Amino acid sequence: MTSSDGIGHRQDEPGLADVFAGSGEIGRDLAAVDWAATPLGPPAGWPQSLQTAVSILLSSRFSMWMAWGPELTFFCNNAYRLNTLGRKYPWALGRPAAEVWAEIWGDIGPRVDSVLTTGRATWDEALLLFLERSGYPEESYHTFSYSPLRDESGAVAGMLCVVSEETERVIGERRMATLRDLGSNPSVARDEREVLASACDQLDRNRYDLPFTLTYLFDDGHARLAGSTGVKPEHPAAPAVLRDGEPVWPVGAARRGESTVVELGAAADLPTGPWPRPPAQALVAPLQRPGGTPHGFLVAGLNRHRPLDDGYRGFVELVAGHLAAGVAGARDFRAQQRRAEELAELDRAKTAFFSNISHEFRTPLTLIMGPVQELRDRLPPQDPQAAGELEVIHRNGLRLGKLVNTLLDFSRLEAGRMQASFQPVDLPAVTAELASVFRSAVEKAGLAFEIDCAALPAPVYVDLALWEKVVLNLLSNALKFTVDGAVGVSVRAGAGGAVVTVSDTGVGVPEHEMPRLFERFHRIEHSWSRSREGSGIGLALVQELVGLHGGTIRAESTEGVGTRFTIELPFGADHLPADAISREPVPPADTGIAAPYVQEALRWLPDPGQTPDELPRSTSAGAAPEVLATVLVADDNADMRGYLTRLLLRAGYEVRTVNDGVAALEAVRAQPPDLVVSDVMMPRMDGLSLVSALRADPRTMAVPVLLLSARAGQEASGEGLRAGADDYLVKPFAAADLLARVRANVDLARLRGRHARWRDALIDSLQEAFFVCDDQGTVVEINTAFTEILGYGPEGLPYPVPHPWWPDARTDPEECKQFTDAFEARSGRDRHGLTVPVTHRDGRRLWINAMMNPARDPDSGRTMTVGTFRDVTAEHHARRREIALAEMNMRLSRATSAADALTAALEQMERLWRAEHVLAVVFHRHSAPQVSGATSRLAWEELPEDRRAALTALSRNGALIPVLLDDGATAVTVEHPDGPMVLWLRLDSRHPFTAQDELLLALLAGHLTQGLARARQIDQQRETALALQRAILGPSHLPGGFAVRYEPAARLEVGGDWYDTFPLRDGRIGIVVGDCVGRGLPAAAVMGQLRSACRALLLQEIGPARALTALDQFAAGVPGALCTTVFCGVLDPATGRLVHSSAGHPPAILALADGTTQLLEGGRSIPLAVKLGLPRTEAQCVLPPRSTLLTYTDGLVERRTSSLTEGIEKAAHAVQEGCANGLEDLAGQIMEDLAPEGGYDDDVALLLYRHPAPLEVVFPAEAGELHGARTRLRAWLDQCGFSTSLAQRVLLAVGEASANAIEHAYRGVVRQGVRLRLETAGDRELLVTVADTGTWKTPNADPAERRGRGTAIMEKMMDAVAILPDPTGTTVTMQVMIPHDDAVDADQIRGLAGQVPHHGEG
Amino acid sequence: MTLTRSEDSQGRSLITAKGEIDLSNTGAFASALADVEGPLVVDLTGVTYVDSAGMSVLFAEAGRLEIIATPLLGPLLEMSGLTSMATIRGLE
Repeated sequence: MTSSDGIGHRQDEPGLADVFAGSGEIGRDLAAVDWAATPLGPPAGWPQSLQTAVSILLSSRFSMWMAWGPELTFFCNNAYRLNTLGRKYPWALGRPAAEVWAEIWGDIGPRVDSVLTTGRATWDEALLLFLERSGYPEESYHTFSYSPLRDESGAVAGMLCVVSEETERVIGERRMATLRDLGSNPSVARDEREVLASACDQLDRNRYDLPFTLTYLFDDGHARLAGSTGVKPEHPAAPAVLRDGEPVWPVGAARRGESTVVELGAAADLPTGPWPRPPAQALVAPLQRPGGTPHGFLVAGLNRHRPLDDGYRGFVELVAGHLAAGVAGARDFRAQQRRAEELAELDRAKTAFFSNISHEFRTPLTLIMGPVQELRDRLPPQDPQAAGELEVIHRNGLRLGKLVNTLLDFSRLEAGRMQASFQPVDLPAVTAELASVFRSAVEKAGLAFEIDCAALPAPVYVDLALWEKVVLNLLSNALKFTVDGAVGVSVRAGAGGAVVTVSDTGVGVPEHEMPRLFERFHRIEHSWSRSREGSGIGLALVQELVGLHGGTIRAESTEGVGTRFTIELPFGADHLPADAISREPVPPADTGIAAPYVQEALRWLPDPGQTPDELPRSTSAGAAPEVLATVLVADDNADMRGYLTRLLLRAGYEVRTVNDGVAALEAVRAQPPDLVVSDVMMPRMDGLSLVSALRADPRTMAVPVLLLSARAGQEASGEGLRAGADDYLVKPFAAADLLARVRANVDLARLRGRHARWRDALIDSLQEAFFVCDDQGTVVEINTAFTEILGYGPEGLPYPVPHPWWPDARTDPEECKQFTDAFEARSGRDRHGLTVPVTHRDGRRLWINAMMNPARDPDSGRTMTVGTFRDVTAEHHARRREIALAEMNMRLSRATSAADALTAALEQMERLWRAEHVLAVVFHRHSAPQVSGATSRLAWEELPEDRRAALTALSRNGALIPVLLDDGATAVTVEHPDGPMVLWLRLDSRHPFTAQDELLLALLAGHLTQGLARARQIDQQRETALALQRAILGPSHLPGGFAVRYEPAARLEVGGDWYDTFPLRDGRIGIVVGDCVGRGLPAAAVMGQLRSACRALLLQEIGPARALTALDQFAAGVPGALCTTVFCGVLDPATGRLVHSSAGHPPAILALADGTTQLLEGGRSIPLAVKLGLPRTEAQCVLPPRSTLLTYTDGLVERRTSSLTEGIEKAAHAVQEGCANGLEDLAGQIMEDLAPEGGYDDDVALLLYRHPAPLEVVFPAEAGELHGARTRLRAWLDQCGFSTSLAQRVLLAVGEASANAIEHAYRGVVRQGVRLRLETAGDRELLVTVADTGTWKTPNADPAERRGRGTAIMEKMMDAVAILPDPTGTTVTMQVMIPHDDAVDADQIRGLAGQVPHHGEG
Repeated sequence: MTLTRSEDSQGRSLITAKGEIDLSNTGAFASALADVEGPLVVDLTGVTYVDSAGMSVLFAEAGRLEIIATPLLGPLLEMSGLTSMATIRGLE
């Protein structure tokens, strides 16, 4: 075939050859299938219904497959190929569906069968199926519906499956549930064993992903089984202890922190979990410990029905991560517990000491030193005595302060609380500068001061404040014990570090004292010293501080010669804790430490000199947090705010300030800080109220608060803490204390935040929209999926009722109610969820499955609602599609014509889319376009011109592709049997037409295409059937006196009922009425055979009984003939004698002239072929004059709601009622009277005979013929049972009319005939017609008198006479009433109708 | 139709007709009546049918006729007015 042939072919039969065209690769692959080898045959021969189904399939973006024909030949579209078919493509195309999906046919086969046999669609949600599309039986979940596909005859010829694969969702949710459960264990497990047991409980609930798990923890060189799921502890795969290198599991790799996939042998006899076969692989994942060897490892048996992809691996590793976190948490907890116990012990030992020193001593000291300072300033210069005494007080105060500070330092060191901040410094310069502070004192003591500080090759990291203490203590010590000579300080570079020496030429230390030189509180009893003062703690502190710097100190001393202290500090910072290092080289700043030392030293000297003014001051460089943190300061005192701000800024915090609690609350809500530092006493809202307000709001609940108060004491702090404050500090407070607490609280909050972050991460990882709303219904929290699904983000929080995603009450009141009802019901437990409509931020209509449950907020005690929304828009639309398609099918199947089908479809579409207007325009090939509407009637010419143009253009579009028009209307082109048809819908503008609607429209249009073709086929079949029925039903010419009716059941235009009349010898007539079982063409075929056979048998003159007996034999050989009922009779119309026999047929009804009826119940027996060889009987009767015989089939009288007897009585009544009518009218009347509402639902055949039959006589227009005609007339009148006088009147009238015709009509022309017709109209009236074909000429030869006499006779004899002259002839019609009492003898008539049994011979 | 000519008991001419008298035989009927002079008795008791043509023959001779009929013919004879022009017996 050439290409031009192909095109021509297509034009002839649109849509036939190009069923696969325009469908890309899948279309080509489908075209390549050897269809001739399938039961469907080549596509060119496919029925319209199959082509339509394939077009819908291929044009859809939704995943679909379909099957058609006896082998359910498989088709699918591209989406299905990509989503589901996998490796089976393109092999599967054109194969039997049972072969394509052999592995799941057990699951889907029954569903397919159900669709094919019942024609009803199925719906399955997330059905588990094992697909062999990836080379192994793959666990997969599909939500799908099977719906029937019908062929042109309306029979189900195949099925269509719309699928959405939900494997990712189902498995994702399952894994997420496991992770969520792992993370949300409510009992805070403290013990390692408890942690693992609880985790294993959770893991064991998901044997789908984790058929078995083993958790091993590393213990001294081996791995110990600490938990397992799905496998018994004594199983060979689960040894209790494993050493490195043992073959069971790769311990070594796990110890190195590597994940390993282990192939499991078949012999291992491993547990299978819920699957039929055990795992083929296991993933061994280490339980990672940050910066160390793993805690252990997790062995996870893998589901062999899922690939080990990133998602699966990630899941197992997250589980391992969680186990690791749990183990680490438990261990940390244990370590913390131990430390806490030790600290508690230490605290008990030192609490008394330190509280005495630090608090009881410092406070009075402050109270001494302050007034002393004031006194010194105010003291009049003329009182040197007092000034001296004050100086003593001052000096001792300083000394005491120094002692207390030293002790505090020591205690901090002891408790590990010494916060050193090491900076790279120029150690020689710093040390020299420190030493220089002592120069005046040393020189005043008469000693040489040798400072020798050479530059170093590398910086040394020291905490300046602490280093000051080291140097000053040593210098102070040297001065104290040196009588004469020199004190020296030197800094040199040593091996890898700096070497600092402080030497003196003092009294030295006795050798036996040297080991205890650095012992705390140990005082060496020197022979001499400049002072007795001393706590014996200075050198111990020095040693500690040097140790803190990672250095060493040693002493060499010779009694009487001198002492040398040598400090070695390593270069660089590697030996120091990383978190205590500040990389910034900071120039040495003033500190306040030196003053007391120098003051004290000078005091030892005989002539204390001037107090140095420029003493270095301390840099209270508080330890800054690792991550930038923001502190909100709330205080009404501007000085305090300024002080706190400077303090915190210097410590590296970001600071915001507010004046009161109200402002603080607003600031926190706007942007939560890491910490709130608030005064208790504030205007508008005090600190305690602020704390309460913050704690009451879920958004600010977690923000830590540090309260500052002037009120001291347990009670005050208790009040603050009860209100929910995290910490409490009494004014005045030490800056360092404040900073320490700020830092601690920020860190703690961060730690706490980890849980919140884990929770947030979990919630955010949910694929379902998650939200929390308060007891007012206000949504206060949402996750990212919520934003993705609904378009509303966290920036809009809180969302008060009504939420913006509620359907608009004005435009969608019904949907709005659905949603609000569901929302109102949220306080109850809800296990199933409700599917309700919502509005996306962009206006789209979504359908969500909403699950809402109450939850009590443990903090506030309020009843919150926790809810999830799952987007089920696709499912909703799938259901909507099913319903719409089912309705369309129902409507189409009820339609009895193509026009009816179209109207029904348009009505549905108008309602479905709430369309303002729906039109269908059929573009006939040879006539003007024809417009149909659902509700309106419009002609093509009445449409606006632009719309006509648009519709015409659309008619050339490809079929079944919906088009959105510029004016907002939607159209789709459909193949109508008469030519292309455009369906045009104008929608409600508030409801946009979505892709889902497009698909539905295409599907409906496809069904409509088939429905129209089917309806058209029905139209044609009906015509054919009627022609057939007429051809085979009965004789084309009925004998006189008969009337018949045949009415097929409402939809089946051909059936198994029949009647027959035919002439027998001697003027007798055979009468047959029969009824074959069944309907439609098959029954008609049986009927045709039986009818012919019955006629043939009666023609053999064997009588009704023997004819039926013979027919039994015949029927036994005709499939479908069993149980046919037949009434069979032979009538002699001359005498009215009727011999009859019935094979199970309803009795004939005889309506008598006297108004009574009889049933001809004689000669009845069983239906045909039920029992062969059974002799049948016949009965006979004589039909009385003017009686009417009704024979019929049971369709006339059988009704579901009433008995057959009632039906027969009703029929008898109808015959009697209609006796006065002509026979044809009577037949029509009976059919009408007995028709059930909605028409006959079974075939009806009816045969009426009225005795005698009307008389028809034609004789030549000769006077000599009159006698013969009169003889026949007499005989007929006799049959009619008229009285002699009535008969005579009729004879006279007919005779006069006939004589007129003979005398006048044919004068001068060739004589033709005279036609007589006499007919009783029931038992009331006689109708007479006398007609000739001549010309009525004015008589001239015969006396007018006589002709007038003839007419007068007619008028006298009859009740009415009409003479109608006509160019073609003259017709005389006459009527005469039959008197009621005219019957010869009524009793005699009834007696004639008796039955005579007669045994047949068959 | 058969016609028999005779005399009655009183010696009057008697024509006895049997059968049916219609257009086909009124000619013969009329001739038979014309052949007899004077008063004439026509016996129609054997006649089962007389049409208007036959009646015309009777009317033409009515003045001299005595007709013997049966009730079967009564309605026709009465309706035609022949009963007032001829002597008719046998109708009651």
